[in-house]
Amino acid sequence: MQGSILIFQVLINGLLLAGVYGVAAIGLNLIFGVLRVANIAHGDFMMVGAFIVYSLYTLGLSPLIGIPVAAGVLFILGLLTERFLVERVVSQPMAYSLLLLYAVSILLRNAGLNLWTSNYVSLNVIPGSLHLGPFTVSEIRLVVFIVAVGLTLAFTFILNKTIAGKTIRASIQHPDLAGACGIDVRRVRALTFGVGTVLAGITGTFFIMLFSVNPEMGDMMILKLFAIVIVGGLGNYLGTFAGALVIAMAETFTGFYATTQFADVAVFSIFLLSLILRPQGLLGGRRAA
Amino acid sequence: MKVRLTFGRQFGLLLIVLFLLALVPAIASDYIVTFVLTLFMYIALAYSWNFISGYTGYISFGQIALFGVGSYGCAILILKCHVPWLLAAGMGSAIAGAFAIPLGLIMLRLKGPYFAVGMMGLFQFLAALAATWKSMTNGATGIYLPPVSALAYIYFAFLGLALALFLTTWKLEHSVFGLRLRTVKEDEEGAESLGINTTFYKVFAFVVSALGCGFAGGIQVFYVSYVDPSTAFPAVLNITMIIMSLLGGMGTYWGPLIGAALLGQISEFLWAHFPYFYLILYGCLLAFIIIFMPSGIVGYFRKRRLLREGIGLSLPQDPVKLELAKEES
Amino acid sequence: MNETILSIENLTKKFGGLIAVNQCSFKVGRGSITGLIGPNGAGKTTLFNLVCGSLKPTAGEVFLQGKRITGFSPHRLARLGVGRTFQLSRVFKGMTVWENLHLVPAPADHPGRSVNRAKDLLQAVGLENMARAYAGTLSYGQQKLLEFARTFMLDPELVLLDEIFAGLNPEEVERQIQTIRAFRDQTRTTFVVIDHAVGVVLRLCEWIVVMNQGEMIAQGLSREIETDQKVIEAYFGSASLESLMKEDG
Repeated sequence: MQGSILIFQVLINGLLLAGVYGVAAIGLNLIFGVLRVANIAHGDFMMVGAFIVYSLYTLGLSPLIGIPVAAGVLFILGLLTERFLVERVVSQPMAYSLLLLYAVSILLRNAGLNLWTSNYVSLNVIPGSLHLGPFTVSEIRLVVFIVAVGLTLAFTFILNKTIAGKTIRASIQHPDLAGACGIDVRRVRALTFGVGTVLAGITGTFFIMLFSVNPEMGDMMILKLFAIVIVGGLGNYLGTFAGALVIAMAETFTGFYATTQFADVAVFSIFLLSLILRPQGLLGGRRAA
Repeated sequence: MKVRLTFGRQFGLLLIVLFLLALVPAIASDYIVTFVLTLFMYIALAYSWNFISGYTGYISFGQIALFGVGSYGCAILILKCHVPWLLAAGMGSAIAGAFAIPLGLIMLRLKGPYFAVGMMGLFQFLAALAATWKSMTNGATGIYLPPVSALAYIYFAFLGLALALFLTTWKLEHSVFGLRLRTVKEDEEGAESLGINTTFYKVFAFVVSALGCGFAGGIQVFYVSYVDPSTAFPAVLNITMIIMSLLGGMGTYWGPLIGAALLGQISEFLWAHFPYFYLILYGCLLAFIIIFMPSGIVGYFRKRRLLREGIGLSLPQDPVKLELAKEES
Repeated sequence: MNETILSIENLTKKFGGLIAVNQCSFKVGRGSITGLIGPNGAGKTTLFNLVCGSLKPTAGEVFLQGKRITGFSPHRLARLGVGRTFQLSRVFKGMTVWENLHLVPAPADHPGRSVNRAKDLLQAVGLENMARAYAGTLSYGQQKLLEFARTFMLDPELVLLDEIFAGLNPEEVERQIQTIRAFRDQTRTTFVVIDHAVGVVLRLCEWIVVMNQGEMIAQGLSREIETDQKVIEAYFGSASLESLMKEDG
């Protein structure tokens, strides 16, 4: 039964990938929920995280140090981006924030290209593979998956059980009312954007340990993230996982049976299909937060 | 002292300018001719972007996809069907326009960010397709074409395209059709309740934009005598056409011209002095424009004039944001 | 009074588990001013949306002058002569008053004459001096009048007014009432009015339809509805409708 083992193998890889995508997608959803802004630069923030870890690694520092450093840098970067750029267009028509974040995306991407050239790089930190029965799982994928799930659970816990989380949820559901209740909405916005970019950045660090990436990775990533958010429904956290599963599976399966370029083609096709077939994706989902 | 520019005077001025422009290939050096023809291409692209994104408010981050369709369409027609180049460029444009009809019907149903990212995705997708569909496009190697005989032909082709798009935009601003198109940006739902078929107007603008980009792509292909995925789908041009339109003034009919002219100069300078940083500077420029002068140069002067005359403009509520917020509750 | 211009049969709209409109049926006579009232969340605006095409019904049918129009798109309905105003004024703020009127497509059956039409309408609502002003500079009351006039550029048979009195001071309310009556008397246009100001609706409208929680609970002449027990209970429990009317005259 070689065939079915192979399929399960691909399924497992897809699942592991979905966990990783989920983290970034949560960040995107969060930013949209609180700021009502679609973060076009989310993929590029991922790239920043990836390359910070990469640079530190080439300087001899292990990712165990690199990842927290990247998280810190991205949090500050996100805070500053929100405070000085996004905040100014928050009350304007959506076109403005779209264009502004597009500008940020261009900035980040080209700064990246300048600093690290367009070569593809990867970090081969944990090269081994585990053998679970007939299946082979590369260790790094498993580790990353576990961390991703951990992050997701921690994040869900924070969102639902802590005051900070409740503040954020209040700001999502009723920004005006939240302000009237004494919540400093501006601060919440800045911090939320920071958290969103941290989640993106950490996902980026995962990526560079799993795949080869280059500073232009933001391009494809944002498309995949949007596909996830569309399939899952914008603002619908449970849906995000479903969306991440769909996209990750599609990518893994096509990547396995064809080349990676076809995988990209597949993702775009799913993006288009979900837009045509799933109007709820356009209209947003029920809010789970 | 203000000189009243009547329609007759404006038209006369235009003819004079056109006449002067027509003399350029005869009297100027190749370098200058190249510079000006590139400017015309920028103008054409800026007007094409402005037509869809400026007037309907549907921000596209991938109109250059249609440029690529026009490029490849033209190149394949020249190579495989031996069509004369100008006709091939026109047919490439028509292909882009025809493609834009179903594409527009699908994509323009989407709200702001989805449409924007969707077009971005289309652009990646087509570039990837061009690289992999070797039988049609020769993949990454590209297609070589017979070299152009005289620069003047390209010059006049781009001039003609830029002029056509300018006049179309002008006509749009001065017609009831244009008014109805602009309601899409103001308030789509309200427009629908008045009997305006917004889908028709949106797709119309999208197709015109595609025709413009496609034709530019076709001419450009003949100009460089070569096409491959990166010249057909140049990411830089994608960014440039957006910034030019915004700098001059999105949704106005002088805007793209002013923006393209200014940025054309600036980009020459930047390219010469900061070959690696100039895109970063573009990003900064775009951010600056959005924050400090979102209506561009034209908008800035218009607001000043209106304020002086004592008329204020209130910001319309953003229907897209209202809808996206409504949908989630 | 006479012929039926709008007929709604068993119209139902479900949003997932929520039934916003449940099997509503009623008829509207040509030339009448009909009111649609009910407490908050009764489903009035949803009903409007169903009739005007912004929402597609889950079940039921809508007929305009005997012809089925269920589920038609908004712009098609507008061309067929169904006009509609919105709760928040939706004039195009970046365009002038004149442009707002002029861009409305001429009705399918008699094109042309739109310039005269626009002038007459502006005069009818008293905005003839503001023709060149940007709609965004108008006061709220003026914007509502503009929206009203603009709807008439369609030469509609039926106009649905959604909270047209919201945000108006008493003087403006009176003016709006006069305007509606004048239009109806001169052009025999049929009006259906939703508003929270129950007193105003009872005064303006001849026939009232009352909804509560998605269902129709009563319909009849205004003076009948004033004292209808079911209606009073729907609004307040057992307090009287009269005291509600006293508030907003």
